[in-house]
Amino acid sequence: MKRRTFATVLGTAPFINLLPMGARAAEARPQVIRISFPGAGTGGRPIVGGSFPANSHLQRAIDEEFKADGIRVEWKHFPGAGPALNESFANGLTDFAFGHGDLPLIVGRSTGLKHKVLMSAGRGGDSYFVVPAGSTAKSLTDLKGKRIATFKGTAGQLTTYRFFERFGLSDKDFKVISLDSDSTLAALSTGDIDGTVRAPFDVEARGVAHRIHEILNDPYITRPSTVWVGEEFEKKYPEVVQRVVTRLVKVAQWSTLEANREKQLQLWATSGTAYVDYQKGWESTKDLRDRINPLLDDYYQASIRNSIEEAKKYKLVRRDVAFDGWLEPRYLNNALKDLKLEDYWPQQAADGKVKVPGRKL
Amino acid sequence: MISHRLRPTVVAAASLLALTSLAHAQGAAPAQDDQATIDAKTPATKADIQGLRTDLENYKYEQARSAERNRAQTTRNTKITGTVQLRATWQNPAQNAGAANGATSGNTNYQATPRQTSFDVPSATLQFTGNLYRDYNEGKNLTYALGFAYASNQSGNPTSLTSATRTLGVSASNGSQFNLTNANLAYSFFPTNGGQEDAKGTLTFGQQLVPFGLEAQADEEVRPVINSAQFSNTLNGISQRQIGLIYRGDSFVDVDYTNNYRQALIEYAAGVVNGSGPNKSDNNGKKDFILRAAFTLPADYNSWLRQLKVGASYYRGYTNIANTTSNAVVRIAGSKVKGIDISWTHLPWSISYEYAQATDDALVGAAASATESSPVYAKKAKGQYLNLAYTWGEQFLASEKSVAKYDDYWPKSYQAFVRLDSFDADTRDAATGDKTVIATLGLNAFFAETTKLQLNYLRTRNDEPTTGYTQNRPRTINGVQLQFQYGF
Repeated sequence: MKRRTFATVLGTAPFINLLPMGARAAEARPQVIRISFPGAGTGGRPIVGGSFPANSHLQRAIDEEFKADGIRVEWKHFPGAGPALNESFANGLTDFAFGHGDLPLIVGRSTGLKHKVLMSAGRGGDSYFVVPAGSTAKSLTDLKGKRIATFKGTAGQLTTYRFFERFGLSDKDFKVISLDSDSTLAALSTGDIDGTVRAPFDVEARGVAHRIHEILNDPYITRPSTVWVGEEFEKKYPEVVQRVVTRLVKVAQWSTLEANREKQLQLWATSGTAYVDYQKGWESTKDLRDRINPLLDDYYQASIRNSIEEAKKYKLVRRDVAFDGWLEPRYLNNALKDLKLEDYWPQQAADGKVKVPGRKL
Repeated sequence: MISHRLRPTVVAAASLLALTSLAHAQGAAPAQDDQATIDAKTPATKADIQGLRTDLENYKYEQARSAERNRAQTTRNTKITGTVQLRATWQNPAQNAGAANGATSGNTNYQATPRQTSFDVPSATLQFTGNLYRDYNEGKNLTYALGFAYASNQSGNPTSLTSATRTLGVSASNGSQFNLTNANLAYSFFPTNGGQEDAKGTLTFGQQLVPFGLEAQADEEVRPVINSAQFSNTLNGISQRQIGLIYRGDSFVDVDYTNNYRQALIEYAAGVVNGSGPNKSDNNGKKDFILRAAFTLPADYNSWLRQLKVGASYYRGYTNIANTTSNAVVRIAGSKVKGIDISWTHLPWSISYEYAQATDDALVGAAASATESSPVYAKKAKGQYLNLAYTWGEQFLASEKSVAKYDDYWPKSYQAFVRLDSFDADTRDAATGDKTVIATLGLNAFFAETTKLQLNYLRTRNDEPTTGYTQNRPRTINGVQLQFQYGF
């Protein structure tokens, strides 16, 4: 276990005044902030793309935020995805999760992991069901009894099950095997699996696979991912949490600007995921704020509640997951207020439709 | 008023406007776009594609050339691994010379004088494992293992029971042995590619470790203490690899999807083996049998009760009793080993306890005059150990071990432990000089992926033989062992 030695000097007085009395008694600052991503780049490189939290790493925004304070930021990228991040947190080795998927987030809470949800890490997008190039399957029904790959324990597992449901099927109709992203790609190429849910553009361009289904921008199929902080860290260092959140919101706003679209797509492609997957995957998103959205709005909350019910239905959790008291929106609200972005992002209703449009640009 | 002779500046401006319009019409980037946007809108030329094609061809050529000239090849999927131990030891009182083997008569193969220190390479192993048949559909694979181990013949250490085994035992002129260790085929009857929730079941045929307790089935590279528990080195049947057929499996599997933590309520093993040890045909007409079952308490990953396991093992064997004068086998003797084990691992803490009791038919009288009617008695031996450990660091966490890094990063771990290990080779009150208790304090530093540094302090206490303590069997021995173990 890593030990923390705590700095004794308070250096964030302006922020302290914004915080409630209980928080003022908290310790001032840590020596290191450990931020974890539930994923890694191709071949295990420590880069991910596809979200504004990823941009905060690619641009070293959080490092910059704390550089003057001498606080080191330790970035962790787990090829073992959400479950590996849970293990790290359970053993006291992670402070923040940047983009945890719904299933590992929920399962972690069900088994006693104590974290506070700070903001949504992203949402929306299209989903595709892909089969090997030589497959004659025209629909999921043709694949009954066949091997379908998903990375079990990750958000992708529930997405895959929702895909099955959409076509009147269930996981019991297939032989669902667990493979990580790199292995799934390799298995598609060699025909060792019969299908999977993933972006199709790169594999189609290479003649490796092709899509048989696409579900475009359906808020039921895709669910928001989450930025959270460990409860203990949040209690000890509320001002640090506030600075992380505020910086993240700044990065999120930068990421929504159309002028920065290509820049960030190319940054994301350094992770090893093909540029074309990002480029085509975001092509239909005309307003980037629709997907790069940190709000904990009705849609975020309803989505997580729905995912809890699904996890129970598929027996992926053994006990109830308490939703009350899990979200801690005050840091996000402070940041939106400080940055004058309160009306910047569109707010979605529980069904995913726009409830309050974002500020006109 | 506009002149019909246009001024040059107007012409220039008009030309620029026309060019800009043309550029827009052709999809060129407007001036305000950043470089990334301009790049995204710029189509590749044929020359660009040819350049890429050349790079690809060069890469393919290099790969083919390298594969043909510089890479080792195997017929089947193969993984090569190995472990080497480098050790320095000190002990007090000094280890006695090997008088029994004539060492003091000038035979340089033997230890001629007492010594307190030694540098050793006690073990070096080489393993080949791989797939002979890979079942892509269900993962019911046929795998193989082939292993060799070097062992020093002068591996003197403070825990050996007698002078001869402690210091000598030389049988090869170069002072070492190189033996086949693992040689087996394993077939998985259960799917292995469905996910962690699938039960396991594998039948292994050939030479292999025996599924008895915890320590006897731990491979050399994962044993926590430099010296294995005394009983696991000594008792008939379980102290060595055996040749035979063993089925290992588990049932009632539960996965905590928090971190994909897998636990099986029941693990089991059953097998039939020769019982005569490695690299030997069966030395009698009876086969030995092994049974083991272990129960793991169902618990979430975050529960303090996770990885609490209780196991029971049973080995039924047959050994040959010989007349040591004629070397004729006069009797096939029964041999039983029963054991229980409890282990709990919840990092940073881990505890393991193991108890084993052996019952062997043994001659009442002298072996030199034994006949088939010589009376035998049930000789009982018992051994147990308790190991408590505290670990700092992340090396035993799958998430931290696999965390993405560019360099040769490996999380470091440090482990402090204490072990109490007791063994009584004959539990009869009248039998003395055969009970040893070893207390070990240790520190393990796991500082690279396959390398650890182990420092053990051992205090060995022997019970007194009827003839009194000797140089070969002093009352206490203090020893220090420092060992690097590296693997590849």
